Amino acid sequence: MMKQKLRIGFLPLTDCAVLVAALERGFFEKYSLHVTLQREVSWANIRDRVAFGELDAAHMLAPMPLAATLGIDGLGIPMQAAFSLGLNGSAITLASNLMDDMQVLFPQHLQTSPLRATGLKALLASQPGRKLVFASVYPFSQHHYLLRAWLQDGGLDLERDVEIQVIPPPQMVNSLAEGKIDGYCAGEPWNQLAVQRGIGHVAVSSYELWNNGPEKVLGVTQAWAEANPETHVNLLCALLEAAQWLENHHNRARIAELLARPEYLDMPVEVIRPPLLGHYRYAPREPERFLPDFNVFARYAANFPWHSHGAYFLAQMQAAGQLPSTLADEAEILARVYRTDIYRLAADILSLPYPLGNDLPKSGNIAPWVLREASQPIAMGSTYAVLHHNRAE
Amino acid sequence: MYKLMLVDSDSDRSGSLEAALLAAGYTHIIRIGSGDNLMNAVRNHQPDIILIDMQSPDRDTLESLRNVSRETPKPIVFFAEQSDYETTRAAINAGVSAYIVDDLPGKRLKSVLEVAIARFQEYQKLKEELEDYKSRLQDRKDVDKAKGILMQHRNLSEEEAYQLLRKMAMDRNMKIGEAARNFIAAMALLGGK
Repeated sequence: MMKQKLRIGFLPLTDCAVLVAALERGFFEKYSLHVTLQREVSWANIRDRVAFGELDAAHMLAPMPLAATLGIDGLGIPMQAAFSLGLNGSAITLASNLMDDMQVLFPQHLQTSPLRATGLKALLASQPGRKLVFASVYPFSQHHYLLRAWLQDGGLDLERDVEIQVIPPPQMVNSLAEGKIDGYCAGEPWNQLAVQRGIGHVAVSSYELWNNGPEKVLGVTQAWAEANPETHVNLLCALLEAAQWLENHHNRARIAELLARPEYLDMPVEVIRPPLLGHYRYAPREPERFLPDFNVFARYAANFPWHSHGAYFLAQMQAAGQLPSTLADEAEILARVYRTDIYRLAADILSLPYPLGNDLPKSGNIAPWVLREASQPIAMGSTYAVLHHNRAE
Repeated sequence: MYKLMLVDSDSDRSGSLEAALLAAGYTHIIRIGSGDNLMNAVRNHQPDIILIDMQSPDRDTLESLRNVSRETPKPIVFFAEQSDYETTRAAINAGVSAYIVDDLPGKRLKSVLEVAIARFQEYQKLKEELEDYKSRLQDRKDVDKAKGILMQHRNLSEEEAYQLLRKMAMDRNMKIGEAARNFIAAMALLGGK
């Protein structure tokens, strides 16, 4: 008997869209799944409730299932992900008064946008002893790793020049307004809200740091996946259909209305909608820019859990001191956590194209390209990563 | 003696937990609510054990204190690292979570956590009872209202109206309160009162 009643956890962020679309548009129902979406207030709650079976699955930061399986998340109950909930979708925001200071002192560093952190380095060099305070949303998150990479790219020393805290997304904007932090990296709608309130400037979007980089996944425990293989594949089918539905421009506007509801994000639709339609505002008195790939939900093989993304996270964990030693069995860990095999089963049922390899081809493509190592050729977007070129790779 | 910090937006509950911990011999207790600056409180008080309500989003902030820094000279770890599976599970079910300084013996923690679990469970039960009471009260109100409408429109006695509602509920396999609410909504839609 297939498990049909499911509780799926999520955090109130725009990129829970695939889950909301699957519920509200009846895709779960189509696969005989009776799903309750349960809003949580912290990633730690998501981890615990999934680990102890109160939730069947959840919206998770992409590195979380890896951290769980590696036993470095405080709990050590092995988890896995067979589905990526989308690409891109976050940004680094700086306090408006910090931008004003740099504009007066170092305007030469603000002449191009997206911004590099070199202006912050110059500011710190002119004010010895000052430490900038930044925040990300969780220790095991792409936000944390992108923020570190961006600061390092500007020449900042992560020990000496900055302090990186963890602040829950709903508290980010207030912390910025109260001057407790100088900037943060978070998902939407929290960057656009700071811009709308006139207290923050977007320095750079995650898309600009890494074109079509990983962000969130659907996480389950290894034990759950082993006990419910049929349910897992059905769940993936429903989510694949929901993700496809979200690639239609009209449906982007519809999902914004749904996300705004009290049971989901409980925020004004005016803040949620523009990025979903590719309209992104960097500064309070600027017009919107067109970033069509700010949120990618299905195109470019967005739902495939690439092992190469997992390998990148492992390297970031090591760089951040979260994972002490080098891993002897990296490939084995990746195969256990990023379940490309289960993804392919579901995609095959729907006759959707799926990649045959587990890793994205290494060289960064700076233009659209076609992935031919696939069940049918897949149109892909740029995979250029501006920052990781500086890394050891 | 260990220093305990209770982070809970429900001051009744944290007051009751404080009393229970005092009775168990823990004299050094700091209570803070939600919205207080947790990081500053942790830096200032340097607690050995932090008990936190799982409805507080500040949990993620505590998760970041695993690394030793100038502000927190001793790393703070999630209690699950020092505890057994069943205690962790019970705590999560009760909606409470704990963080401790890394060098604290697990046994000590367990007794503190057990007191917290008991208090949280008690409050959960109280809350459920209250909600149950509220929903029964609401049912009664809605049934009365539906009865009134039926009596007026169909010229029925109170008993007849009640029997009709009961039949409606039974036919549709729903509770009488629910049937009454559906009926009121349908009448409103049709322009009745």
